[in-house]
Amino acid sequence: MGFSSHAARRLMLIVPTLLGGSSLIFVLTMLIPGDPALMRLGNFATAEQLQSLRQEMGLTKPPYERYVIYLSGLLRGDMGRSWRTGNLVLEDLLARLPMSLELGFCSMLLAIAVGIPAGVQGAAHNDGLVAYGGKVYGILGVAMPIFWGGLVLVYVFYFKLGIAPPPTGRIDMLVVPPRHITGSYLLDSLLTGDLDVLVSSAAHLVLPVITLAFVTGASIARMTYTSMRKVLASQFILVGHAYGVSPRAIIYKFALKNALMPVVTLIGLQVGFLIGGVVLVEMVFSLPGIGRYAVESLLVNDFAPVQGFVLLVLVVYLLVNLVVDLLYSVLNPQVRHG
Amino acid sequence: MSTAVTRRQFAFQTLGVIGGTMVAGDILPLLAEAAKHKQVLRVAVDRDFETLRPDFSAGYTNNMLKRLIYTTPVLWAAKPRADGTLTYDPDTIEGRLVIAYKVSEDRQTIEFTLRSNAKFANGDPMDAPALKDSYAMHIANRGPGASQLKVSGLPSADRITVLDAVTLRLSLDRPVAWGLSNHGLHNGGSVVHAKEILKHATPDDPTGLKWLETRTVESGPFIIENWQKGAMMSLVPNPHSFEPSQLERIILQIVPDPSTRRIVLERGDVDFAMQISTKDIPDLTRVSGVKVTSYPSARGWWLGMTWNKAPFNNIHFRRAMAWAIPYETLLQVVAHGMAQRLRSCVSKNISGYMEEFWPYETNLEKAREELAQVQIPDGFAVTVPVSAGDAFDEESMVLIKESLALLGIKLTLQKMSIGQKRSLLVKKQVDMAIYDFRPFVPDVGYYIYWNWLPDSLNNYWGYANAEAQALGNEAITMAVDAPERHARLRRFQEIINGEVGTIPLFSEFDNAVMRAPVQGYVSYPDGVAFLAKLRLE
Repeated sequence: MGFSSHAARRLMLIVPTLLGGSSLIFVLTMLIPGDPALMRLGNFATAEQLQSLRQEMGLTKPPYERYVIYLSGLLRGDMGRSWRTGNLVLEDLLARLPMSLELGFCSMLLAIAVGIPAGVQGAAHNDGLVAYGGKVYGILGVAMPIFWGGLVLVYVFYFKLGIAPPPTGRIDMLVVPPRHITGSYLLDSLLTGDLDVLVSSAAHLVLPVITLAFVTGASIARMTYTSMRKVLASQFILVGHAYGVSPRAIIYKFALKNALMPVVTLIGLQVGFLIGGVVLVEMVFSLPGIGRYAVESLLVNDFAPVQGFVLLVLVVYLLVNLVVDLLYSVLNPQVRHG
Repeated sequence: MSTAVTRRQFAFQTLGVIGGTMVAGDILPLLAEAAKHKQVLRVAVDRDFETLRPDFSAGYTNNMLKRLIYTTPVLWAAKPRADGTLTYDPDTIEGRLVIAYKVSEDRQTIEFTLRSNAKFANGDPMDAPALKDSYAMHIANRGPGASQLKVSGLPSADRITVLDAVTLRLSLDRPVAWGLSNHGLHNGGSVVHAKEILKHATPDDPTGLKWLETRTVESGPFIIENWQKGAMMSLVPNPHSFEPSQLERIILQIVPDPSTRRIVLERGDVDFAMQISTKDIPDLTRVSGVKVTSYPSARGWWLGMTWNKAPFNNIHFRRAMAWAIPYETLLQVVAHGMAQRLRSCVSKNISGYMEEFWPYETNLEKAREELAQVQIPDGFAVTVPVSAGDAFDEESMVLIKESLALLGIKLTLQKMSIGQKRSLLVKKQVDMAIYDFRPFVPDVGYYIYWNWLPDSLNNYWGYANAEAQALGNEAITMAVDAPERHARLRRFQEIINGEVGTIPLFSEFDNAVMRAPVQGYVSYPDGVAFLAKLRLE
């Protein structure tokens, strides 16, 4: 099977997965007890008003009818309207997505930049101090709750040392946000040449990114370490040593490439974890991303944003795993032939 | 002493002056700019503002915003407390849009005289016809704004008459004890530019309300300068407002985590923090540069039990529960001392509250005696919904659970979102739970209207007592200070507390937490801050 037909096959599989996923999301949110109309009205309302608003919000329709409306809306790209914000859910999500992508992307980059070298060094110098440090990091990173890690970083670097900016959002309160181009403050400030915003937004990203990357990077480090140890014990590595190939070339040219496949798979899987982590980090650092949007909506029974968020996460997850699958087949041709 | 200047001294001094001028050339405008913006108030709020529709109830943060961007006809006047801080005066209503009001002898007609030349933020006149349109829009939209107006005696817009450009007459369908003060509330009292809103009507949105969710024409002292959804909002003074503020800008930064709100306030990165956890308040009172003012509030907490099934509707069971509650522990452990003991079925710190009808203290012996008179099975268990993340609810219920376990009653706490819990309460599907309520108008009759009448949405427990409910109904229409009203409210509380209609737990304080330079905070009965009244010194 060629690469393009393999890619097409994988791409086609996304459609039924999405359909099944969206139906499951609808059913699950329907099962959550709670009345959005009641939350909208608050304490000062009458039973007639409640009933009237329930009708207006379509909550009195039978479930199958609501499912048909939901599904036909999705096909038109309409995820419904949030009663909390008054906006279309898609608009809300798109407005908040750049923030979450910026955070997730930077965190993943840092996690890879730290995790792979840590794993490689640990495997290459199995009994040294570096290896020991790498192992401790691997255990700590996996064991530490993200929420707690973020709070500790804020306490130490902002509250005690005063070297980090306040965890109050994407930029300093008195800095004017950049002109909207992509929605990412880093990119938009670069594109508009706004140095103040660039510095401020980068500074505000440091602690959230470290919080997320610390945990994600630990898993990557552990996987790299294990995989590298296995590859370094292989026959072809011994042969390389026997032929006098330099240890550096053995590690980086031969061993790492072969050890990377499970690491790439793990990175794909970590995207799901990262999205979960984003939710918590956005709460601690007051970042207006999609995770916080979903959590705040869920707390007040605003279900359309929750459905939209889960669907968006599903799409991102499927696409990332598609890319990982394709990458896997590039790294190991046996995959697409097998 | 020689006063001669050497060449070296001259050179250094000259360079110093030149350098100083160069630096000052850069710095002075910055200092001037900083001085100019000295009155910038930075506020950490707990959540986004959700909607600009004033008639809908969307929580404390949203109500705070409404008070800034929408004026109301009237508001409670402020008065100093013994410690010099300011609180509302329940006996004095002062005008905002209104400069004078006249209430008829029978209290069924209220006449407002409006400020002449009052304008909306777009420069359009905010006159009597505009105020009538605003009321009419709230009534037509059938939200909590309409409820607020209905409970004030205005069920329909045809009861509102424009007498001239600045005079409006409200003909109430009945005299209402709180008929005037209710016009200071943000739901029904907020003045909206109805004509402008209707201009944005579309076939999909025939009333323009969807437009109003995210855009508006302000009538209050501040206008929205910038709103980044989920992140922040900045407001600047409304150039057309008749309510001058010393603040030049207000920045409302959304900081959802309460511990983060606390530390940014402590570090001085915000001037005012809203919704600080009660557990942090005692510590914050000792932090240098931070000012905490606590006000007894009308927000009460009760343990409710259903009247619709046994054994909850058995008077002995209810009395047993009332004797078993660890009241003092709740005050000290859950409320951290920042609350008062509550001893009635209605809110404390409001007109008409009486506590002589609640004899119960913590006494497990008496609880056992009462329980012995009830037929309950061994190992009787109750499932109690608890709002996840609500410290008062969760912690109180844990302590009550421990106490009831000593009587052989097992509580299973079921955590859920506040929305889910409230849905179950309104559907009357809960056997036992903690609930809270804050009457926006500080009057027991008002509390009764929303909680104790047969069709009150918040009558979660299905309470029914014809005599008590008739008394409550009658009290609604009587003058606040009438002796016969006082007698009715007294009897009402005697009946319900005698039946252990609900178990009063505590009445929490309103805590205002700010940096020391912030002055002018006034505590209002609805707990909603009026930031326009603040200044930085």
